[in-house]
Amino acid sequence: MSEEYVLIAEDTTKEYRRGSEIIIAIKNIDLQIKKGEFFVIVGPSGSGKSTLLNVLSGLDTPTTGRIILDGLDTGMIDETMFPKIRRERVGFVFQNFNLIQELSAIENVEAPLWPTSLSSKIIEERALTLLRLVDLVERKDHKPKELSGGEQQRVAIARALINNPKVVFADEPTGNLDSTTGQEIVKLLRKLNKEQGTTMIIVTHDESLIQFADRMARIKDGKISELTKGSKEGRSSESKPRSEGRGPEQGRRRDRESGGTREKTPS
Amino acid sequence: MALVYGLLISNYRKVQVATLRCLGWTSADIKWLFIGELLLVCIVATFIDLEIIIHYLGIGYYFNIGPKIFSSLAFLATFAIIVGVQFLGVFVAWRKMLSVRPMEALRKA
Repeated sequence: MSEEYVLIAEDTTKEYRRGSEIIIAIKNIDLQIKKGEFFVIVGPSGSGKSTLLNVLSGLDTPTTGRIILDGLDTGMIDETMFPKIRRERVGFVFQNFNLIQELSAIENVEAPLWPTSLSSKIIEERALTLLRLVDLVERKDHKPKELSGGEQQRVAIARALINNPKVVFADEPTGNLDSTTGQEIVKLLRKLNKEQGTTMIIVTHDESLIQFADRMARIKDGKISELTKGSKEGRSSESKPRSEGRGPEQGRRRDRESGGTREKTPS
Repeated sequence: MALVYGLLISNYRKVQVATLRCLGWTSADIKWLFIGELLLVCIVATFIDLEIIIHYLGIGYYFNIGPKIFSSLAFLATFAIIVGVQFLGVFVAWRKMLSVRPMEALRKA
């Protein structure tokens, strides 16, 4: 069963300690994301969606529960192995694009493969193919500051795909773009998802992106409040999230164990 | 100079380092990238320092206000201290770079 899923979150909770206060960023999250899915996680600012992305992508470790990324339990992986896993299985698209300003568009796309043993010719060929795919091959020698926001994000998408990842995590990919460019970027991600079969997990506060999703999860106060199919297939409630069915007592068990510190969910 | 530069780039390039970590670069890959850059600055800084020392000694010798005898030992000791400080800069910057977590890349500006 787990073979059809590229990402599984089991009863995942992430807490932060701030002084004597414990902040529960995400709580008892259960998610299964299928291979090739275009999955949108939507929620307001401070709802815990970025924390969920950090945990799902292996950038952060959950306090309890476990994450299985492409068959690997991230909690069981040695810290030194994470760069290799990220390089081979995961791609990232950021809200601020995070391109290296000193490098040209093609060099930015090539950058993830520079530390590998691949020859520079192969890396360049791959980068050119991807720049062609995002329609930026004519601007390959331009520096990020010479590109528009939408173009920078397209370079970032090409960079995220150069290692043929199993999953691409996009954190607010339209956040720094106007609505038209934002829609173009999501359509591009959707197109690449369909053509290449790469699983895309998009975290956003923009409700309009739900229309592109195969499925979406709505997150509120660190919990999944809704898990649905995308609107194209006629969105409907797929399952009652496990987190909803949990009583507050279960969610707070760690606080009692840690000596009755105050619980707070991000606002 | 390298110490200041090292501290500056480790602060200003935090997001860049975090992004490279997200892209799968190991600490060793990042170390060599930045050590290469810092060493270049280090070499330039060393030559500037060398120039200052030579001028200082030359002025002192000419006006008879500095060390009367050109002490090669003092010169070498000063030079060694300067180079040591440059490497301290490289080390401090490198340690700061290693402490950057990939999650920093996802922080909003």
